[in-house]
Amino acid sequence: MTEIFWLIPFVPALSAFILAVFGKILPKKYVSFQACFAVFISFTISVVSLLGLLRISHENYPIVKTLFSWIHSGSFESNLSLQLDPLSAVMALVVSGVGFLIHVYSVGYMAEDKGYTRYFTYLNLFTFAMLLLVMGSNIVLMFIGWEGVGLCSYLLIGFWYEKHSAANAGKKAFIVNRIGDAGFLLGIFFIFVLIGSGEFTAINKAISGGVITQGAATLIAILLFVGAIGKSAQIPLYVWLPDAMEGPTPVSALIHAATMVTAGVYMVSRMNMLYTFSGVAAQIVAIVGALTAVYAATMALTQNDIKRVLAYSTISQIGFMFIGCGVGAYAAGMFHLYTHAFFKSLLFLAAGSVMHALSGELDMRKMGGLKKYLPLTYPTFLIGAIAIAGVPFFSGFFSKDAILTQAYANGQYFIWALGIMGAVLTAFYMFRLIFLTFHGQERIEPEAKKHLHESPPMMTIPLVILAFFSVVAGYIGLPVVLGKNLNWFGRFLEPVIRVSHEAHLEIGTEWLLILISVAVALVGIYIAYVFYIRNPQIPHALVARFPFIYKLLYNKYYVDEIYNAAFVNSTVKGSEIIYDHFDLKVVDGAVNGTGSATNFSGKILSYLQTGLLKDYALVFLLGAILFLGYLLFF
Amino acid sequence: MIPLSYFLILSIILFVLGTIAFFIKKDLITMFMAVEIMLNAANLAFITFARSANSLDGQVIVFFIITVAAAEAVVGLAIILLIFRQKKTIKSEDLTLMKG
Amino acid sequence: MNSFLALFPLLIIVFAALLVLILEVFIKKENRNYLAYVSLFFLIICGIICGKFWDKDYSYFDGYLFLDNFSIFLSFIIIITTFFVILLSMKYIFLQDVNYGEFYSLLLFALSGMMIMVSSGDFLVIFLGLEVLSISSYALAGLRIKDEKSSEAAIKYFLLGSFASAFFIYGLALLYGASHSTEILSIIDYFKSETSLSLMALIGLGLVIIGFGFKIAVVPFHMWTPDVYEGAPTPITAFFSVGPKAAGFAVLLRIFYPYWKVALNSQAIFWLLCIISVLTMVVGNFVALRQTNVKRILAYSSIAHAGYLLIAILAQDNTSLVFYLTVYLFMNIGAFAAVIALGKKDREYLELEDYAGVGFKYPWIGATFAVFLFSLAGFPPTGGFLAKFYVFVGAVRQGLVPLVIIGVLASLVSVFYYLRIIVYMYMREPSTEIEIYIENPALFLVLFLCLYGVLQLGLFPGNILILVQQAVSSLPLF
Repeated sequence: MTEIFWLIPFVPALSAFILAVFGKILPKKYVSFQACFAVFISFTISVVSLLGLLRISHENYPIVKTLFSWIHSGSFESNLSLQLDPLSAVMALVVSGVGFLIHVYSVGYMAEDKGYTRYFTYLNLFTFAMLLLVMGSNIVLMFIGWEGVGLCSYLLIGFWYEKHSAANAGKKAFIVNRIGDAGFLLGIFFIFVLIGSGEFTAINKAISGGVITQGAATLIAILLFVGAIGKSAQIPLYVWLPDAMEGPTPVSALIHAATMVTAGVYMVSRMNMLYTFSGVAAQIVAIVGALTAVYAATMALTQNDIKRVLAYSTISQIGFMFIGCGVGAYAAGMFHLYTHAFFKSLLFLAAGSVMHALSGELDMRKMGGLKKYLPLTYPTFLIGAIAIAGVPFFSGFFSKDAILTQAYANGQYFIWALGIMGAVLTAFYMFRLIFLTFHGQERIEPEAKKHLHESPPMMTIPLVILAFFSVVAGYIGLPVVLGKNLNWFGRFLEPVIRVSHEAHLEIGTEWLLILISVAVALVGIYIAYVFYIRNPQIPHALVARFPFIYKLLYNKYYVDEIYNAAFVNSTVKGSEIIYDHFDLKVVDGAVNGTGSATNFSGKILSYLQTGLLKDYALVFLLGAILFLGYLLFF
Repeated sequence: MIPLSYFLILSIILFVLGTIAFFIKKDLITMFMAVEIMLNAANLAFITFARSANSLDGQVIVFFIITVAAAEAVVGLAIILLIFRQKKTIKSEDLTLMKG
Repeated sequence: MNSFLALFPLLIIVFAALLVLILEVFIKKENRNYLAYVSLFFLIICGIICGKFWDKDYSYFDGYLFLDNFSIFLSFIIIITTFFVILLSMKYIFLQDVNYGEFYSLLLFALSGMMIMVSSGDFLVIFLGLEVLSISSYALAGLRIKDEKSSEAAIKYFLLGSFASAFFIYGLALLYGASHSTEILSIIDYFKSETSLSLMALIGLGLVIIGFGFKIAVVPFHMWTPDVYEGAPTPITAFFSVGPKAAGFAVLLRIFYPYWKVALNSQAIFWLLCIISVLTMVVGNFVALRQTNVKRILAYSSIAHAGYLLIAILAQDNTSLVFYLTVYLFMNIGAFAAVIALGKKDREYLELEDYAGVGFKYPWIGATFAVFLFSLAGFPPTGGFLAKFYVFVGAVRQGLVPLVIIGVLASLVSVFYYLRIIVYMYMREPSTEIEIYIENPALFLVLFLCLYGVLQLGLFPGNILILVQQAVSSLPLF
């Protein structure tokens, strides 16, 4: 059965195609059935393939299926070929599994939407692109999936395009991602030029065979990582992800939490030999990851929009994954990706359920005391929060601990400290969210309260399933201290991730680290408890005491404003006029600044185009004179 | 005998004069005539070179260029006529419908 | 092989042009589409004959005209362009009141001029082809006689074009004076043999390049492009943006392919072309951001594409260049076809505002237009992606990394304005009541064929690439 693994991406593709062409005439029930069923088939094949993979000896990895030869010109070629190895199998499983649950959830969530068919077309298309990304056997195919998921993400963020903010958020996401993609593309060019092939096996062979120098490897690795920064919303290209929450909530769960944004982590893990070989690049990955983990967590502290808190939390958690990759513990990074997919999509879907119950309310200040109204949503949400906070025996604990332990073991104490800081903050803001939403005083608007209800089973069943996995998913990768063989996940990935040197700690140190992690999580939760349940006036007192810091955090460090000031006001005096004329702001924040600077130079240049024949001839003549002058004198 | 380089210099002067005329003249017909002068400067250069190389090629080329210039003139005058019918003017600066 | 057959494709086209001109007198106004059918018929015949001559290497007039695989391939590109343009025009000339009589015949003459350009290795013959193309083009640009913009486009094109021709021909005179020949190869041979750098020849070569720079619209010789593109009848704009550009780049390839090999004094020319390429990409893409007229956006986009193509010339990457031209044909004609699709009697929809909501009102037109725009922007899996990919990889291999970085960044900027059209089509409520003339099967055929071309070249480029490789391997070197 393993041979048919290449069908995994194409089933959703077929479904998307059918929906796109015949969507208008198909009944709604059928649409939902087909969309979900297609992903379910992919999921089944993924499971079968994974089981099949376990029976095959390691030497035969990866299994490659070449569908046809795509680019074949002279010295370089690239095939449309898919590969199955532990890494892609795990990713396929996560994407199709979580994807399936989110499809099911969407059936309930989007039931009333007029763009129902369009929604499922995009969602299927996304699943296809994402599966292509993780299963492609060469970098070009990965790039195509990479662009494809970006496009679908854009379409889905801007899904409610009538909402101006949604349309703008979509554009912002798209453009910021393109900036990253430019780096990624350059990296690919260098791979082709220096190595001559984009196949992952060939790249690995080239590195181990010493075909490229360390400097070249660093160059390629950093360029590729620029792409990852864009896609995985790391500093400084994270600005698009919080805005991306304008899309439907299941989309936020699937694309902007569980799968697409982790593509960068997958890419770095896939290229692990390159990063390990380069060294410098790996260190950069770790630093960017650690900084983002803390930075995004601080911003999550003060947000009042429930989805924005989760968005910043996603950014921060991906930072953790990059820490894992950067310190050489790729398996730990992947492990966190895998557990994060469950609990973060759970959190998003539960948040969606809260929104659904409150007729679309997102502001936590207008919630509180929801515990008794949402008997299923509350416990599942709580499980998700416990898992992400890193409380022992829940999945997030094992993966986060694995990352931090490895960071410490590799001597990256600074990174480790940042990680611990991030972990405290994580526990704090998650429980702030829980307490503000479900506990304490009711602050619900009367209008919303009238319709208050628990969500339909179509939505709650996926919640329960995801909650179950949020608890147990971690048990396939227990800490090494409990016994080497218990880290099944790490051993499974070993054939793909060749760790050059396994860092070992003494048993005592390792236990100590675990203890610190536990303590950190509990401390964070306790502070949140004190702040928001026992003494709800403390936060206000703090805000009153440190208004500057609060404002700084609340306004997200004024990054958008700083970008604006730096790019816009200094380069262009009176740029407001341009803004007024440039009716379509392509993006705001950083991109807006560069956008309008570009636009401004375009304006200057277009002034030259006076419409006067003689001016045209004059430009021609001057060009010719300069041309000939250069020719003569140089 | 007049040295060949004199002809060459004359042709360059003609070319430059044509270029200048193109810019300082206002109406389209004169501008087009300026271009014709530039083409004829090239003709003179071709003949000079043909002479110096003692080959007929250059002289044949001149005939081609004259023919081409004639064809251009036909189309060009037709277009200028069209402009005059529409706008009652053939000043080049009056043509700024499109810009930017 | 010296054979009269080498003239055959050219004669067919010229014959068809004359025939159409004569038929026009006898055909009633209602039946004017017959002229288009006649032209299409001869184009197909010509295409088939060109196909038969593949690998035959016929030549005539002592080798002044020849049909090597390269010229046959390029002829294919321009014949297909003309074919599409005629299909696009059939309804258009009726709806927009274009003078139909001369239209097809001028188009065929322009085609014959381009065919001469791509199938000769002699500057004089190339010049004649260029002029046949140019003179027909001037007239074509002005064919919407009642539209002042059209005549303005025509006069601007005409005066600037002949101005540029004068530079070209003077440059040719200087080259002839230095090397006593007008043949490309012997001129370049002269550059090789002359150890001391001959000033006159160098200036001559520079002037010739400037002349071609005008035709392929590279900065700073591009100023005519947006105005002429905007004013000309839209199918003709589509024609200008693909045909002459392909022919011009074919000639540049014939010059530079041997020239880089000699490369005694090519350093200056190399850097100049680098600068021009950068300027072209930057100016084209930046100014396009400011435009609100879709034809002007596409005009600036075509300028920018000339910049990418120059990278291929600089990287001596002939295969990529020709492949890019092939893809460019389909995506650009397709985009213009979508623009032409939105029009009714005496009204064209060219402002961005007009495109609001088109994606929902006319889903097929909207979707195909979006695909072409994505392809122009270089997204996988369209042909535009592969074309850019090849060009950039080839350039990186030659060590032109800064150029490639600028190219990638420039195409990043280009996403802004391509996307803008898509955003208008899909994310705006229709502001004005837009309606289109649906009964236009010819146009939909073009849309479909271009869509097929863009996807085929993006997904299964193998066969075409082999043809391209065969074509460029026939390029003459010493």
